[in-house]
Amino acid sequence: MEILRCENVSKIYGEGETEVKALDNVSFTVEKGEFVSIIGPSGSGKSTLLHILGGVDKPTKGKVYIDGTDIHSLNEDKLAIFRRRQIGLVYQFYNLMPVLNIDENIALPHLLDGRPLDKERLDQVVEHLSLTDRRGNLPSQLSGGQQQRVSIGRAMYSHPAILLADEPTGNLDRKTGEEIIDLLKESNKINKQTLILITHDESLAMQADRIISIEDGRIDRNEKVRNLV
Amino acid sequence: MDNKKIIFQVTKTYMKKNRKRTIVTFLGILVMVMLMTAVFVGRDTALDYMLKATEENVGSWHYQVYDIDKKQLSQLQNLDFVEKCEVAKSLEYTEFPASGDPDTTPFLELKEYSSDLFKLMNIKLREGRYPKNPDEVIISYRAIKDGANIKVGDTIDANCFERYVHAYTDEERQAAIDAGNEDCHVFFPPNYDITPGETRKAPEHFQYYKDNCLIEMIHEPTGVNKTLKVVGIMDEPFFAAPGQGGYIAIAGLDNSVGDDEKVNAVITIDVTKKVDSYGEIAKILDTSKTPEEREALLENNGGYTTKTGEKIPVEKGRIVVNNMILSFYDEGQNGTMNFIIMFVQVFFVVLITLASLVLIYNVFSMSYKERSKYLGMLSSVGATRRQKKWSVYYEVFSLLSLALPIGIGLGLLVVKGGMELLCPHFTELFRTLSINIALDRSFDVDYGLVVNPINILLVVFFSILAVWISAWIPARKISKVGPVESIRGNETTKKTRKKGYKTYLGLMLKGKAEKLIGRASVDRNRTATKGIIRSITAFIALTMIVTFATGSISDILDSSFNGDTMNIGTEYKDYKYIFGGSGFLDDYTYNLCKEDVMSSDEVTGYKEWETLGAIECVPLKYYRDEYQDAVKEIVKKWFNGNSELVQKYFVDNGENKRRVFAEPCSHIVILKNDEFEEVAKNAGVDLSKYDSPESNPVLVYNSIKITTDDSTIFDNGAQRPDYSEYTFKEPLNVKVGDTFDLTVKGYDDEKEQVYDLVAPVGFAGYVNDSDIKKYYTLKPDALVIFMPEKTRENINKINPELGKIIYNTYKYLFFNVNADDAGILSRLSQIKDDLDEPALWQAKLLTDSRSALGAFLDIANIIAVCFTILVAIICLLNLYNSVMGRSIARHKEFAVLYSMGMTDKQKNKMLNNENVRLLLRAFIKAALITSAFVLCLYKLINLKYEGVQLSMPVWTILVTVLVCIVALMVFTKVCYRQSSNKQLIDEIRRESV
Repeated sequence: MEILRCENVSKIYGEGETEVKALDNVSFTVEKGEFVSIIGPSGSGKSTLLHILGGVDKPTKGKVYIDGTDIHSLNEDKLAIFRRRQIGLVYQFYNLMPVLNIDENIALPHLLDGRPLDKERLDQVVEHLSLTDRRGNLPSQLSGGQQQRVSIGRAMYSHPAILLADEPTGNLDRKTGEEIIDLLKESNKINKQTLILITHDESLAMQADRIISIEDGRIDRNEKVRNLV
Repeated sequence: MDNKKIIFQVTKTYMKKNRKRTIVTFLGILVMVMLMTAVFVGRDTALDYMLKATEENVGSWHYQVYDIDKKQLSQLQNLDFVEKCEVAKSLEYTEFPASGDPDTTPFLELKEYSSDLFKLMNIKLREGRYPKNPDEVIISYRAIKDGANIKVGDTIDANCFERYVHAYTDEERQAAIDAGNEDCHVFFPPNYDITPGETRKAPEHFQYYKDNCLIEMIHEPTGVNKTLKVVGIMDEPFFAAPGQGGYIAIAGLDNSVGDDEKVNAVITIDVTKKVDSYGEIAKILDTSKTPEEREALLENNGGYTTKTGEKIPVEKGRIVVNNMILSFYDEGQNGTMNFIIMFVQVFFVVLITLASLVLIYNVFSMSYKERSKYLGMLSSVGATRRQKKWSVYYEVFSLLSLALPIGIGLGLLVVKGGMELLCPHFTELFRTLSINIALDRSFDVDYGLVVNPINILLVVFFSILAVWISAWIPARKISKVGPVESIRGNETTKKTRKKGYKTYLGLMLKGKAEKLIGRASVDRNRTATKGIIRSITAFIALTMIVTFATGSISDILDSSFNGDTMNIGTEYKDYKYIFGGSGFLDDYTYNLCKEDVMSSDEVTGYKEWETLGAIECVPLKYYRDEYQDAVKEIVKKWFNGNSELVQKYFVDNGENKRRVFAEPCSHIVILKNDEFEEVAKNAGVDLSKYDSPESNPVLVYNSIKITTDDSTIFDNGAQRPDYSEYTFKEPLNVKVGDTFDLTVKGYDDEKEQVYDLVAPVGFAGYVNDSDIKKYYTLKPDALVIFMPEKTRENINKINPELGKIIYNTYKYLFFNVNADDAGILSRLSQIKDDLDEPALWQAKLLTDSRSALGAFLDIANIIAVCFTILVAIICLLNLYNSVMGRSIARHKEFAVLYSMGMTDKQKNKMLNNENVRLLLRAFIKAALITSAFVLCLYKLINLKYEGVQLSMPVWTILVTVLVCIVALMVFTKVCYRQSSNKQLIDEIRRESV
């Protein structure tokens, strides 16, 4: 079942002589529960694509459907609500709220939705992320791996339909990176959450169901991993 | 390019990049320089203006020394601190047949002035020229106004005489009555005592009295006879007194002084030579006294004590000091003015420095993170600590170097613009001075910008100092940042907290995300919010402190110079005319005119105001213990703690000697019966038990303030102490329903004894300001007793002698007319009172006329308000800068929140939540700082002005708090508008692309 459809999406920055085409007519679909890796060299447009898919950025042209909804036709407020309910974002630099502790960071999108905290669920997530003994700590008091785990916890706490991860291991050592990818994969398998992972690490990308390769803002390849293998 | 240049270059680039912040910092420094300039130049300009204004009112002389001989004059002229020593002679009086008002002003009061004295005494010509010799004279315009048949070019035959007063004995009085002489009141000035049978020289500017049955006026020729040519007409001099018997006329004077001649000297001194000028002058006068005279003088008035403790006997009125002028030079006998000027100057310089310090410090604290990055990079290429420090100094001093010339220029413009705007107001204040109104004198003083190069240097010095102090801490902090820490972003030098933070579970369980983030942002990141809290705290604290300090100055001046103790109430504020305005109109004429007003169709409304001039005593025993203690304390201060003299003062009844503090006077205010009932009702007093005629109910005003300055103790050994005041609520120890006595001293002619006339009155209760506001505004220095007409009548019945004493009732009829040319106005304007003054006044002359100090106080208040506003501007710039800095630092945080699904509405809610918390913290801090400061100020003021009641600026507090709230909300809205969703994606992209 199709959860995401990207139709002829283009993104242009600047104008005239300074115009840069970050994405050029990008189209693809993602099935529900699928794990897709988007790879490409620096500046290829993969992060721009992820932001557009996450409803954080708007395409210059084209449409993005998530669960049948054209997300960029929604007004600001509706898009924000859609985002906090349907999308989980994991960034390379974690992007945690510096003044909130682990518990508060994890539950933030859920709380922003005006829903009361599900304490049991929070305990479950924190325990799953092995952060029980650091719950009161602020991000600045945690290591990079711990911060990224919090970031994943935040993304998966309210069971969003899609997890978008932008180079989640880019700032971590190999071992910690592997742990993070395992967590994401686990969420993908157990919770049946669609996972779109941006990376330029081919070996990581190969762990996905499908790889979409982008170069100069265009899809270069879009193939199932098993076909590649 | 050397290292320093690179540092400066990079700093310059950084400043350009953060243009908005740089501009705000520049504006802050600019306002600081501007204010400093305004303080220093404004002080001199305002002082110069006030000095000119004072000179316009009372002349520019410093001392007048009376009755000196040739030798003493020469000694005075030779004193090294004496700048000018002009000579004046009094030729006493001459008949003035040309007088237009011979019934009240039949004489000329003749004086001779040396040429420069006209200027010192501010004698202003209306026409003609100043006299050049003793045969030329100028006369007061008042004579012309009264219809005198004289003009420039005419001559006057002067046959000079001295005026003496002979007070009739009983026999002489009877003889005078038999001879048909009129009965009348004679008004002697204070301190002029004359006993029946005595003949004394008339007091200065004494009124003219026709033959009457109280005194005989005797003219003693002086032997000076000459013909004077009128060469000019002058404004009425400031020293003239309303109702005096002679028009002032001043002739020229050659400087020759005869060996046996007595003259007066008018002196100006070199104020830069800080010598005891009064003491030195007194010493010269002292040389001609015999030991007996010295002893007698010391016995009678205590003499003058020099700074070294030496006592010099001085006759009363022999040396007259122009305290108003000398106060400007810290030479007067009252140091209040100078103390306040110094206080204000130091206060504002400190204040401006503080405001600027907070602003500059905040700018660097906020941008510390950004700066540490580029400075870290610089230090990785070899920049030393010192060079990094210089980057901060470079920034502030480059801004200061630009701000200095502009700020000084703007400061001068502010002073000029301020004076242009305020001068008409100041002129109006001085124009309505009672002296100008009474003498019909014009007031025309212009200001001049006083730019002293030393002041400009002081501005530069204090600006540099303020900027250097402000930048020193951030510069030191930034210089410590190492290359690695700053480039990696671990720039903070503070130890991070290891312990976690308690989760706000309650808020989470309620799903209050905005409140959660708001609370966490304020509570867990104090460094980031410090700037805003500091700015709000500074804004509130500085505004409050300025308001409190200026309020205190007003209170001090108000207290120590005793304003009107009794004024009209709200009922009378809307009337345009007053009849009987001077208070000296006979009852018959008054009542006749009152009838006219009441029956006139032209009168649209009227209201009578009646106050009783009688002063009676309420014995000290009826006052509360605290009051009695305060009285003892005051007397103790007067006798410098000498318990023997204090005891003597309280015990010694003396002959006719009133012990001013031990026998407290009270003001008796008569209210109409229905008005009295109304006031009693307002005060919740039940008058039903006072129905019987002998109950004599009275109400007492519930507050009283007594001060060391209320009266003068002339006893030997008494000396005016520093100002102290004591305020009491409900000052009597009498219970409601009890009686107490009103007493007045009577004199038994037969027994030749003083005795007390006593009238018991029933104490019905206290009244406060709001109970009585319709009829009176009170600020009493003595007990005020409200008495209904029926009590007064009853007292007259009980004790007719006492009733006679209660006679001096002042009646004023306030009224409005339907047209300015109403006939009733023309009729009433013809009526003159006992002092030959018009009985019809414009009400505003009564309500507007003020003392010179009142005018200064108004000016000081206006200037203080302007400064408070300008200091508030620095603080608001600071607040804007802090809010902007924080919003910039939080761009990424908002990008994350946006990506998490936060809406604009939620963002606003969160920011409002944060603001409430920030405001609360700032309010608490500001309250603590302000309280501490106010307490210190209060203690400091109390050292010099003990017991001065300082008022709480409640409205300013409310307005300041409101301005803070609005400013923070508006600045937040403006600064965080840039954090709107679309631009925020760049923040995320910056690190993730």
